[in-house]
This record gives sequence, C-alpha cells and structure tokens, in this order.
Amino acid sequence: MKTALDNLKGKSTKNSLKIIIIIAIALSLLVPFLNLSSFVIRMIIMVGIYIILGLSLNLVTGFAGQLSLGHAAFYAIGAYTSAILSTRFEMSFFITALMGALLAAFFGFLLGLPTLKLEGAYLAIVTLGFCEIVRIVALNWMGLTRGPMGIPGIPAPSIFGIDLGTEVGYYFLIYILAAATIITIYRIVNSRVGRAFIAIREDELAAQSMGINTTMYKVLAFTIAAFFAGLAGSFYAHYVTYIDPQSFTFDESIQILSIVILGGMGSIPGTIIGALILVTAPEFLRSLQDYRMVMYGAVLIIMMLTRPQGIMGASKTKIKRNKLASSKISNKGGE
Amino acid sequence: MSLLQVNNLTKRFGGLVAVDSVDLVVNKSEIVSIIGPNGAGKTTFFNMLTGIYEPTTGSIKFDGKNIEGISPEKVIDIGMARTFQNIRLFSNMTVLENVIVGMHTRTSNGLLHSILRTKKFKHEEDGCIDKAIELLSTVNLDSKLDEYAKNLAYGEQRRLEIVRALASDPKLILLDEPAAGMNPQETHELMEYIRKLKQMGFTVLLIEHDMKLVMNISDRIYVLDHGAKIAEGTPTEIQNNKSVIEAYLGKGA
Repeated sequence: MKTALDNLKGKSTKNSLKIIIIIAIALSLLVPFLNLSSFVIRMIIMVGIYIILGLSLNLVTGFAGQLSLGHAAFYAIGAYTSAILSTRFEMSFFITALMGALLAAFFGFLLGLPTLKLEGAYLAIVTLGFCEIVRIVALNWMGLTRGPMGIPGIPAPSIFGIDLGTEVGYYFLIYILAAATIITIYRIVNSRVGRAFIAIREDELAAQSMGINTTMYKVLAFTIAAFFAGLAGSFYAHYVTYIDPQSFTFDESIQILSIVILGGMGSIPGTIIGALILVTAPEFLRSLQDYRMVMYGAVLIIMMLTRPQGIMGASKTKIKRNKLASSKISNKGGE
Repeated sequence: MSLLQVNNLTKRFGGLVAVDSVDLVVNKSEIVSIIGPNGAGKTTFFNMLTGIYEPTTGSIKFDGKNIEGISPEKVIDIGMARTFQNIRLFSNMTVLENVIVGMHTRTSNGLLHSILRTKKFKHEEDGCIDKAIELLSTVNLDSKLDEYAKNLAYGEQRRLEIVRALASDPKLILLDEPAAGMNPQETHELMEYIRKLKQMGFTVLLIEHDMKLVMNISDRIYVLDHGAKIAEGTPTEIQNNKSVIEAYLGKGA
C-alpha cells in the first residue's frame, strides 16, 4: 500500500516537473521573436555560455570534489584554437569547435595528471598556475596568437550555406550547445561514472576500497570538463569575432567558480540559476554606477553567509527507479 | 581449503614494529576473529590485507594468488571487501546509491553508454537496483532507499556499510569493529546477521572488541598483542589461554 502510494507520489511530481520543463522550453524558443533589444539577447547568449562553463566546472569541483581555479584556461584554449583555425585555414565553425573542445580536453587530461598526487589547496594552486601559463603564452606567442593585439575577424558560423551570424542564429546555436551540455552532464552524473565522481568527493579512501580507480576518474572529470569549456570558448570566439588574452584572466576562472558556488556545488539546476544571476546582476545593478561592483560583492557575501550550500543546495542525485524495479518491490511487499 | 593465507607478515613504521611476523589462515565459510588490546596492530594488519599499507616483509596469499602490495582498488576486484572502524559511508549519497557504488567493480557502464543511455546501460542499472534492494532488505534498510546515508541512525549506518561491502560479491569480507558504539540489542542483531552471512556462504574475517560477540560467533580466534600473535584457537581455547589473560588483564590476574 505504502509503496503504491509512493509510486503515485513520485509520478505526480515527475509529471509536474515535466510540465514545467516543457513550458520553459517553449518559452525559451520564443525568446528571439519577442522583439527584445539586442542588448538583452546578447546577455541571454552570454548566460548560455556561462551555463556551459559553470556546468563543466561543477563536474570537477561540485561532483568530483576537486577544486579548480583554472577553468578559464580551457575556455581560452577552445577560443584560440577555434579562432586560429577559422581565420587561417577557413575551417567551418563545426570543425573548429570540435577541434577546440578536443584540444582543451587534451590539456584537461594533462592538468588532471597532477591531481594524482595533489589535493585541496595544493591542487587549486596548480590549476591557478596553469591558468596563468595559458594566458601568458597567449600574450607572448606573437606568431600564433598575435599576443596583445588579439585575433580579429573571426567569421560567424554558418551551416549548409545558412549564415548563423544573426541574433536568432547565435541564440539557437548556443541554445543547442547549452542544452546538449546540460543533458550530457546530467546523464554522466546519474550513471556509474558520476557515482564514482561523487564517491571520490565524499570519501576518497572508501571510494578506492569500492574498486574505484580514483586517479583515472579524477583525470576523466578534468578531461570532460575541459572539453565543454573548450566548446564554450569556441562559440565565444565566433560570437564576439575578436579575442585577446584579456578575456581569459584569472578573474574569469573566479567568475565561473562563483557561479558554481552560488548556484550550489553539485547541482545542475543551481548552476543554471547561478549563471543567470551572476551574468545579469551586474547589468541590473548598473544604475548604482560606481557602487555597482561593491553591491555585487556584498550580495555574494550575504548569500554565502545565509546559504553556504548555494541556491539549490548541495548535490542531490537520486537513482531513478523504473517501473520494473519498483514493481518488484511492491511485489515483495505483497508476499 | 584455505581462502586467505598470511605468512610472516610484518609492518614497520620507522622504529615501531606495528605488526610483527604474523601468520594467519582463513578457510572458506569460516568466521575468524582477530582480537587484542588497543594498539595491538589489528587495523594495521587489515590495512595491509586491503592494500592501504604495503607490508615490510611477509606474504599474503588470497584465493591462490600472492597479493601483497596490491593497490586498494584491486583488492575488491579479486574478492575481498571491507568495512571501516570509523564508518566511511558516502554521506551525501542515498542508501541505494551507496550500495550501488559497492557494485562498481562488478559493473562496466562507461562514459559512452552512460551518455547515450544504451540498452546495456539500462539493463545494468536495473540489475544493480534490484540487487541492491534485495541486499538492503536483509538488513531492513529497504524502506530507506532514498534516505541520505548521513541521516541514518548509527546502527543503520554500520549495517549499510556491511551491505555496501557485500554488494561486490566478495569471497571474503573484512569487518573492522562492526559492533563499536552499538548498544547490546544492536550488537545482538549484528551477531545474528554475521551468522546469516556465513550461512549465505560468505567467509568473514572480523576485528572486534566485544568479547561476547567474538566468543559467540567465531570459529577460530587470533590474538594480537604489541603487533605479535600471542595465541590462536577456538573460543574455548582462547578463553583459557594464560598469555591472553595476561595481555588483557596483566600478570597475576
């Protein structure tokens, strides 16, 4: 009886959640046709980019528990790879984005290796150092990156001859990329691989005793996260059409980390909300003029004091039990 | 037939000999206990068996293979699962998830299957869930599947940790002070449960301070003191062993 009731309860919450998601999707598809100012559209597109960045960092920091202060480095690698390939070799966005993401993933793999030995603050310092190295290389390797002059004239993406370099085009492109990231990260987190990440965060020794190769999984987390950050970087380069090392400083890493912490470590909806708030807040606070960043900082401090677990709270994964499994329990209850 | 055979196992930390040339045998379907005063080297001994420490000298033969110096994540693979003296559950994971993590080495869904949600993925997940629920029902935790491990009562956490170890289908299960902090009623239930494990065909190696528990369920007992083995035998033999009494109560007792 109780299990039957539980099943029913589970179903109704699941259904209402589904309805909310469908409405949200329907509304968001209308956004580019609402005659919004290009300023607002631009902000929404930036939110999309930061959703990808935040989610990918959350995989490493929120789910696998490895503090990284160097996420902007992968963002930069994706952006530069894409910019260089498209301006010099005239490759299409879809190829350069894939290459950018893969190269970032490769560097994520390399950066993941020191995590074999380092933990906590020590790892954070290594990632911070890596972020600086990437920025300084971008600043000084004139032949490849044009240094402080940056790379201008990055072409807009197009597909089958259709130019996506319009507001609507960019909007739907980032929409698809962000949605793909959300789905992929969600599926990873709710799987054997994701459970291994979370187990490492919760208790590394116990995770090891369960047969989880903690080294391999930590490197994997870094690699996946870097892949998506690289993807976000590629889109960014093709969107703003000009990049320079100034866009990928340590501040950028902190901005991404703030999104993760504000939204909730290990929470996917939290990261989405965090990105929405942190990207749009500075604009909403613009009327405060000089006090804008002070307010921004104050909001963060108050938030952390009153709700340290973030807006959506810490990770909540729950294994979905399908009909088969639940019917087996209720059968057992009946016996 | 001996499942675990330990010869001459020694662990030195600098000048301190934590475990001193200990021999030990565990046969299939036996319950074997290791007892000894605090600091006798019991947990260090466990940590060598499970690959957390590398032995200084000596050999460990499990299921016919030498495994000394093996890495901790391989130990469970070859069929040896453990619990910890101070409970080490995954606190922010649910009861069900904790048990399913215990099945890690017996499952194989990788990144691709997880992202694509393939048939194999679903099949394996369903199998894990069914098996986990079945295991949890043996310790009356199947009503708390979605509860976070940190929210369980102390005794429940202990039981969950044992079930998590069982989830890997171990040939040998190592329990490190499972009754620590339990009240008499809980200890009694635990005793029944360990007996049940034996009937289910598991082999158990136990570290425990609760003498009532140890004497009641052990087939054989090893006694360590200051790192060295001072006695071995059946519970009755141990209870009457002079050096054991001395180690616990001092000379002249």
